[in-house]
Amino acid sequence: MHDGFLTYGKMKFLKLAVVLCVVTIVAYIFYEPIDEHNGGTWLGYTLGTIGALLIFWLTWLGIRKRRYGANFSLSAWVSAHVYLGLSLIVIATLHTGFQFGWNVHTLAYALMMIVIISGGFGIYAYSRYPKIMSENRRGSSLNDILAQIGDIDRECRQIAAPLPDNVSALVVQSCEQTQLGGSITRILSGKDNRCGATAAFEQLRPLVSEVDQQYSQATRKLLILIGKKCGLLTTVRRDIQLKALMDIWLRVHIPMTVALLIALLIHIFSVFYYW
Amino acid sequence: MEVSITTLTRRKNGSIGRKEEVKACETLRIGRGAENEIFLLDARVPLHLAALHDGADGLFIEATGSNDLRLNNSIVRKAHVNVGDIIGIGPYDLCIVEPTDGINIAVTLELVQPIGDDVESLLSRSNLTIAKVGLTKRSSSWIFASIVLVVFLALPLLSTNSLFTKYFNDGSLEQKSQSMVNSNESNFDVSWVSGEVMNSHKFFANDCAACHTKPFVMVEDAACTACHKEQHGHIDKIKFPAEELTSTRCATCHTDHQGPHPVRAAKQELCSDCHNNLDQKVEGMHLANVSDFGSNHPQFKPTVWQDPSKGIKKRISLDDSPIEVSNLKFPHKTHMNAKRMRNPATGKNTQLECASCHVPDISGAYIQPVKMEEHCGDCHVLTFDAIAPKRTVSHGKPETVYRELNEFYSSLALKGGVTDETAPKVVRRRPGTPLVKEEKKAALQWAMSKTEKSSRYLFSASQCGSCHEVIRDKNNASGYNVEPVKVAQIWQPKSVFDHGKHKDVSCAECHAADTSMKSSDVLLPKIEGCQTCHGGEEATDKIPSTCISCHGFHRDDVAIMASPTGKMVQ
Repeated sequence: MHDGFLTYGKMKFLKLAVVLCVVTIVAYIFYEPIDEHNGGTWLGYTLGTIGALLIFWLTWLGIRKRRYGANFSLSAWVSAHVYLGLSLIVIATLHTGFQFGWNVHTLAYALMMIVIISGGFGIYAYSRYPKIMSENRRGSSLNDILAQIGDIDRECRQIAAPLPDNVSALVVQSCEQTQLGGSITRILSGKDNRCGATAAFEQLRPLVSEVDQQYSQATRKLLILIGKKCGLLTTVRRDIQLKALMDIWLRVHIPMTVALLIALLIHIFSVFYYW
Repeated sequence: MEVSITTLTRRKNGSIGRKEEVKACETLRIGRGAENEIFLLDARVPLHLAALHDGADGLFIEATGSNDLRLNNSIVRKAHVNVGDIIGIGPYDLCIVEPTDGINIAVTLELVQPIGDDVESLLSRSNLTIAKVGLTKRSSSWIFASIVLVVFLALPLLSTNSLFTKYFNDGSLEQKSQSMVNSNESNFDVSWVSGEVMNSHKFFANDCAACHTKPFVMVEDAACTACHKEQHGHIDKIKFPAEELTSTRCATCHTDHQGPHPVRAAKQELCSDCHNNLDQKVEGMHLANVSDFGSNHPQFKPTVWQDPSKGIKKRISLDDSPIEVSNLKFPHKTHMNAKRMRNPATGKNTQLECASCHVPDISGAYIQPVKMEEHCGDCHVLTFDAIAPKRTVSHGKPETVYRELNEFYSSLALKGGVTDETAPKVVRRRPGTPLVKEEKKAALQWAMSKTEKSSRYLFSASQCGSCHEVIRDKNNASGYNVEPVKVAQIWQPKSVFDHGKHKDVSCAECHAADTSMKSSDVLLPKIEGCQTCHGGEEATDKIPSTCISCHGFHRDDVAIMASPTGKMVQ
């Protein structure tokens, strides 16, 4: 498990975050602004300041916790990063006073939410996917499964050598027109609608009863082998899908954090420039 | 002979692994069979393929099985070979090389078509990680950050009319307040707008610098008064110069970018902050403390007439039973009684309603003044003589009434034909008959005496005097005068009461007219009457009503806000 940070130090950062949220909510309920709740009341300024400081600090934590070997507890930093980061959902939302629009202010908020959600997904992925991945591969390594696929291909070629052209063409299709992963959507979906092996399997199935009697047994064996290959391909695709999911959140989290920092600075600058 | 066999292995990084083996043999046999000197355990290689001999005339190779040989890509059964020749053995290449000392034949052997191609080629077609799809953290960070920076900072700053652009034009980071805006065209700084502006500001909502005249400075009052030139202030700044009273900005109450409604600030604390302890703030303060309509508001103090002839009015609390001196005699109770209201023209009794006399104005908020001719004249007919029963005088000044009477009788006397037998003969003569000087004099004497008689009648207690205070006045042509009638049109001029909003409440619920016998009664409900329905801002069981539900902040009797002195308007 990679989620030891969640329970770090008897969840002291969770407690801190909860206290922060409760205090914020209570203040929001009891504070009556002259007009509507918004970022420009004194409560709005206070929450905005807390939120901005948290964002800067959490970003720094994100950098800090990657410097391995320094004299600090990694779990502590990650724990603080996660729980205080989540508390921003409450603090920043109440800072907005639920006023949203097509402007740089809401942009900063939206980027922050993307960063938080992607980070949340990262926690989920790291706590859950490693187990799912080993279950998916049933103890084999990815290379084992790839070797099995290679063996099936070779065996298919051998079996197909004496068989009619239409059957051997499907074997070639299964061997040569199959790919794993590819585009980002194909990797993340874990599916391939243009999989050569699957297509060959579907086309081969009716052929089993259509080919000459002398070839039918060999053809049936091919069908079984390609079917098995399709199963293995599904396992591999699921494996690279999960691996990609464990990787992609950070590719959203970090660029969006950088964009958020810029948008946040512009937000602060613009509201005081046109005070 | 000694044979050197070197097996070559190409590694992924391009380097070549060499493994040399030296064998002693008569001929160098090649095949899948174990008896061969070069035996290659690969299904693609025949059991017995070829044999290499070292003859007197050099090396030669011959096929030993049914398979032909591939020598330098040509097909042969038997051939001489030299250093540099390549013989194809299934997936292998066998190359003749220069032998070293003590070695007769030297060859290299390399697998050029390895088994397991399927997995390799599958992987070559595939992409297993998203790291390879061109989505690096660093590059996308740069891209997104740059987009945000350009679209949301650079373009808004450099857009036309922005303070920043102005700095480049004339070196000043300040915009003069202006009553007319530059332009309302949408610009890139629209992305900085924090919320919808109020409706009345929308026609220049895209010109940020119209209000935000100085960077990093809150919107100043000058920006408001540049347009709102005629808006009055709230207090006399000279009389009350305290910082606390003068430092409040327009935008403190009139917050903008919070939606379309014009006055956003209705919170009573905006008023009660000062008004709940005015007596402590200002020495000798005549205004009462107030903080909440439901719990802390003084009794209503209507402004009532005290001496209409001298123009004196006074604010008197309803708790002190104010009496209005209006010089009008009007019993509401009598007029609400149908038995006593008989129309002299029709002879029918009529039940008067409040609205028979009190008609709302066009806004519905206020009641129009009662007019004698419209509302009283049907019954209170100003007739004066039985010889002309439909003839009336104007409801005007006494001298006008007197003149009208005199003109009427003079005209009648000079014309003749009066049927009244008590009248002199000259006025009873046939109409149109010419009169001599003496006769004219007699006729006009009669007219004068009739004028006096009718005048006495009209100004008597039963006629004018039934409503008015009539006094003897030698200076007036008629010998009478009427005290001026002044009825408070608006009892509470410092507040707004909208009758239209209360039209579903019957008049009598607030105005006790059906028991009032004197017009001096101030028929206004006490605050407790309003408080049966209205509460303070926090009221939950009544209509929450804040200060500005009834009162205005800007007072017409105070100088306009743009004025530097803030003196009271006289």
